[in-house]
Amino acid sequence: MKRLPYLLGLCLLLPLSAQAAPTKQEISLKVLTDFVIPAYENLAVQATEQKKVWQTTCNAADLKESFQKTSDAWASVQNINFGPVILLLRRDRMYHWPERRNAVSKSLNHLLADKNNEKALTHKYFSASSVAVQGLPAMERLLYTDLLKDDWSCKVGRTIADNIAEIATGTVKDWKDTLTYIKEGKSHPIYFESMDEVAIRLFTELLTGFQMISDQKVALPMSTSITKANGKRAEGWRSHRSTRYIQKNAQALMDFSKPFMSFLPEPDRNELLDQFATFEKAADDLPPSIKDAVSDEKGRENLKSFLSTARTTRNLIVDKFTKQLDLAIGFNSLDGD
Amino acid sequence: MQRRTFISASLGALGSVFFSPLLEAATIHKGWLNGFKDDQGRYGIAYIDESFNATPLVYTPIRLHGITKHPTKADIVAPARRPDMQMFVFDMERKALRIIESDEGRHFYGHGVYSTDGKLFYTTQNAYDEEKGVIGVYDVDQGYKKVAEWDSGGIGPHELRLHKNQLIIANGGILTHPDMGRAKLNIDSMAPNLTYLDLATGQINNQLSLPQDLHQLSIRHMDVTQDGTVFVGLQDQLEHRRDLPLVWKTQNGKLQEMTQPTEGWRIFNGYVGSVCVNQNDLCVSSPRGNVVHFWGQEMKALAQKDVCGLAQCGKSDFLITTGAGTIMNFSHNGPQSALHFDNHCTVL
Repeated sequence: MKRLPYLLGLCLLLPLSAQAAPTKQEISLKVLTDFVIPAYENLAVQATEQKKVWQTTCNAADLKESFQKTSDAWASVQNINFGPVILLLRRDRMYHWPERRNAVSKSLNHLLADKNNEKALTHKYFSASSVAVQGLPAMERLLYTDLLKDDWSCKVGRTIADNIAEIATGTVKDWKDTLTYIKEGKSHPIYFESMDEVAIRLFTELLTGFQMISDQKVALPMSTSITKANGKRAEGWRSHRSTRYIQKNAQALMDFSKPFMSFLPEPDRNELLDQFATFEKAADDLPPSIKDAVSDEKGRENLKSFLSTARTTRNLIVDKFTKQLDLAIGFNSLDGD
Repeated sequence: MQRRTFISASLGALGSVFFSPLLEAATIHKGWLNGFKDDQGRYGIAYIDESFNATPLVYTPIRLHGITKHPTKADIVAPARRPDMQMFVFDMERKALRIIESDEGRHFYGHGVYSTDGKLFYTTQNAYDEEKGVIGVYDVDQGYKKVAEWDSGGIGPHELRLHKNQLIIANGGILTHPDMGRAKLNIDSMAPNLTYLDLATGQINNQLSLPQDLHQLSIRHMDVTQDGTVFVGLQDQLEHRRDLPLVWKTQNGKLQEMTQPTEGWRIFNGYVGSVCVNQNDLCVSSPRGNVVHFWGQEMKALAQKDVCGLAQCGKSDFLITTGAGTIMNFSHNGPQSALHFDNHCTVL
């Protein structure tokens, strides 16, 4: 009995590498409770606040702050395409982006022209209408392109705000319900079959965040040369968010990584934290507008340097998490050709 | 400016490229070749013998993809994956290495094929500033000197095959630029096709495309039967889980979708990684769907984690390799390997 405290103390002192790797259930629970669910909770809070502001005014200038805050909250979970956000097309309805064939403007203009069609704004019809008109990109058009100018456009805006709030609160509620399955280590009838699947999917979504930044948010507007650059392919350029989105994404990717990192041996954790500090600094040092920077030689050099830092960070995460946490993503499925 | 370099390396020289002392050239006449990564992060080419034992043949600093053996000589060629600019030519007899660098403004795509007589080697390349695909033609007897360049007939050419007097090219349609890493820059407007080039002139003889509404399915991998039927495997660039046809064949001058798997096209999770024909049977693999699918007298699917490499095995079977180190065919499994096998397997 006297040796028990000594043995317990010894266990605590052992480096993690000498201990068994955490189970997938432990990893999943930690990531969900420390990052995913709080991030969706924040989104629900901001979206509900936005909905309330819309009840009080239809002046675009007074509505922009709540839009920006809701968009910031969305940026934290934008890369997650797993779990309750896939139910009822929630993710697509919240954020139809990258936009194809000007779908947001087309759908929104169609709705704005259909004045006094109150039925189209009922929850039943609106939630089943084009995903392009239901979420933040349509809200951005209303607030930043002078479309909010009469009673009907105000009603459309309120409907979008209600819809965004309903999607956000529904998602976080369903995640909390889903957590029960993970605590009990049970499969879920819709979202996953095993704890392995949950942990791997969360890891995959983390990596998707890096790819989303590099491929869609930076490389796409940059294109192959300065003459081919198209700043209007940058995300959220109308609301001056093209850089802000990336900075919020970068911050969120570190927050997303931290619960995973808590299971790493300290030297590996510190190495990753240092790399994340470099990554966040690179994000902070981005030009104020991606939209403008892609058409400027100096701006493009800055973006290329940022892309390189993002790649290094992602590769280090893959290396550490696959080796230390046994989060095996297939060699070919991770990076095929 | 000519940027081609020539390096003749003796065993163990040349930095991180070296030949494994475990293997003698004389032993590699039968079996298969497969790119690999080991647990120390080293890349290279593995030789798989007829008992399905894998042995590293060479180690390289970068990941290799499609690997081709010269029809008569001991040369093995591996062009780098995008966006890298080296093509490795290993002389297994002399244990010598040449590194051929791509011309200015070009990079390789990981695939190539020898002419029937072995005098020329054709590779798919990206002329990235011109935003078009090209075929680099290399003269083997002149030390793999580039002697011609032809338009591939599209953007993003990937795998290619030789059939009679034609080169058949899978133009994936995806625009990339080395400054952007592997980012895909034209998903909205991509236009993949299957192009037939005349080997005598380099001129386009024919081009086949998918229906317009499927233009975001990239034509990436292919194989051809002796009678010239081409089978292609596609990769969905929009979403992974759409239930769209991902395996097609040429028929009556058109691309015709194959009979869909019993479980639906979704089993491939939007991604076919390798295509292989043996006589008239077809096998495709999907590392993202973790499945191999076979079309022959019957259809069958085999679940296998991170599976991708496929090659002919005998007259009616297929060798299957995976990123998890499995080597098997439809009859039996070989010993588990510690190597992670890359997408493509080549029969010797």
